[in-house]
Amino acid sequence: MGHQRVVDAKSRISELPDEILILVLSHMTMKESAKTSLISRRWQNLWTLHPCLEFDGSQAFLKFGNPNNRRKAKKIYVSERSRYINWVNRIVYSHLSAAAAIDEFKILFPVGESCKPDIDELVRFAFEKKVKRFELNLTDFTGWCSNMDGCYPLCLQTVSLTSFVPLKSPILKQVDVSSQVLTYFISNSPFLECLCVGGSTSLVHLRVVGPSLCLKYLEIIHCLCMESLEIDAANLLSFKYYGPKIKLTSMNVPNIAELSIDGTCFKSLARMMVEMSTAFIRLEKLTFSVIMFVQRWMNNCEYPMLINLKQLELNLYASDDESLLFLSSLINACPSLNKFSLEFCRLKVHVKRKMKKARKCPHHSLKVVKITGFVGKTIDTEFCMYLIENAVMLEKITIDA
Amino acid sequence: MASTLKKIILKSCDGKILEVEEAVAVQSQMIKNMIEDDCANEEIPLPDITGEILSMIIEYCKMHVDGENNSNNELIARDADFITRVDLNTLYYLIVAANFLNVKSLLDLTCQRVADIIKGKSPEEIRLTFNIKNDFTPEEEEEIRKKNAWAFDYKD
Repeated sequence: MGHQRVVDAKSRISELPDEILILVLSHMTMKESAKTSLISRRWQNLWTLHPCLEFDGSQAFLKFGNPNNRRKAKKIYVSERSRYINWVNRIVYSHLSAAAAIDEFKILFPVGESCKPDIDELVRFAFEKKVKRFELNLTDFTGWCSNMDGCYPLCLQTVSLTSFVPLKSPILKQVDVSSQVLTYFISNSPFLECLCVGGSTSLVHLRVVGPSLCLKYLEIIHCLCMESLEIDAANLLSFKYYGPKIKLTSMNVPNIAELSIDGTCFKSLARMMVEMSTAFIRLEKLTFSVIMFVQRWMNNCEYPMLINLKQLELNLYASDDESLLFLSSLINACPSLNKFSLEFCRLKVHVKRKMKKARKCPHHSLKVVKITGFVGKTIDTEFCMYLIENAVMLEKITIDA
Repeated sequence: MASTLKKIILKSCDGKILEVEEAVAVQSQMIKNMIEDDCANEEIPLPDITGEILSMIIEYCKMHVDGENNSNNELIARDADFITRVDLNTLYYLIVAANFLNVKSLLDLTCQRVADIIKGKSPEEIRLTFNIKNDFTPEEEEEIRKKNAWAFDYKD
């Protein structure tokens, strides 16, 4: 077969079997691979069999964001939306006849409840194809679909095709999903690694529990009707929660390394940490965002010892008559703390008071400090003074307006 | 110690005989299966692979067996060094052979290489690089452009 060499092999790249060319395409993004449809007839439809289907219409829909003629713009938005969905359906259709499973299915464009039949079909397709990474991000950055209709509801019958789901990471943003659907994922997907939910108003009580749960990342953002959460996940590494105040009924997370929590839950989390001090032993990074009532939420609160915490980030709102010096007890409860950052938002209350001094208590690990939102009033100046005087190993402090 | 290692004998399509240590040969899933089925005691003829390509594949597999204890980054650097030395002509035969022998990491590496060559090029540049004939009429090309406008229009 030495004669092969006579033919110019590089021109034979198109002769490779479909599955190899698709493997080639799988090493680029779907968008990059779409360009190959223009090479020749051989390549024309291969890209539609890309194993990672990513439909990101966020850029395309952006131009309908701020129209001068609202009625006309709305009409264009509606017709473009149905054209977009038709196009997505066409690509999905070519996959239906192919045997290959898909690794990833990602939809990123602003649609709401009125497109439910179409979205349902796409979700069903993804689950039939044994999708591993599934993302439905229907965030309405144009403002159009929330004007027109409600949030797309993801129902149990749409996803529950089999009792075994090879799903690794469902990401559902601006999708109305109930705890029933999430519980179905949690109990039927043995490989579940990452679960993100955003903007669901149907989510009220959630239990993230399971004897063999391998979940590593959990994110619950802006689910405005949420009331309670229970987590028992031995492998969980990272948990993020932003939203209303909820009841944290129990948190068994012995491996947690990163926590990012809404200020509303500060007190209940702190209490839980004190009660289950050994459960948070591996925690390295802790972020609290939007702490509105500093005194009420944080002062006179018992702080847990977080012996491995290296990074602490706080974002808090306070007025001049309050003091941030009580934070020293939180900082001192973290003997390994290396980086501390504070984003300070001053609530405009003009009260003059004398600068206080914190009890001297040197900290031996803190090296990097970043303060943003500094206005030079008593409240932030006295806190900066405390840090400079007590962080004896301090190497870098950044103070920004 | 070397003498106790079992050798697998491979024969290329142009008659070259190559002796390979079993640990290296089993990087090929196909040969591994043959050994498990006890079909690898005599020389294995490889009808579609030239001696030159076969030597390269053995070099690659050996590199991976020897580098088992190396860091991931080191292996990636070696892979990159191996694949960038390969011209387009050889790349095609390597893909065919890696697919036939079922050496998954090499098939990935070679396909990644083709993808890297394609990325960032216009369709016309891709055709030129791989010597592919454009069999579309200008109208057909326009039609595809229109049909898939969502995929490539807005960002590029």
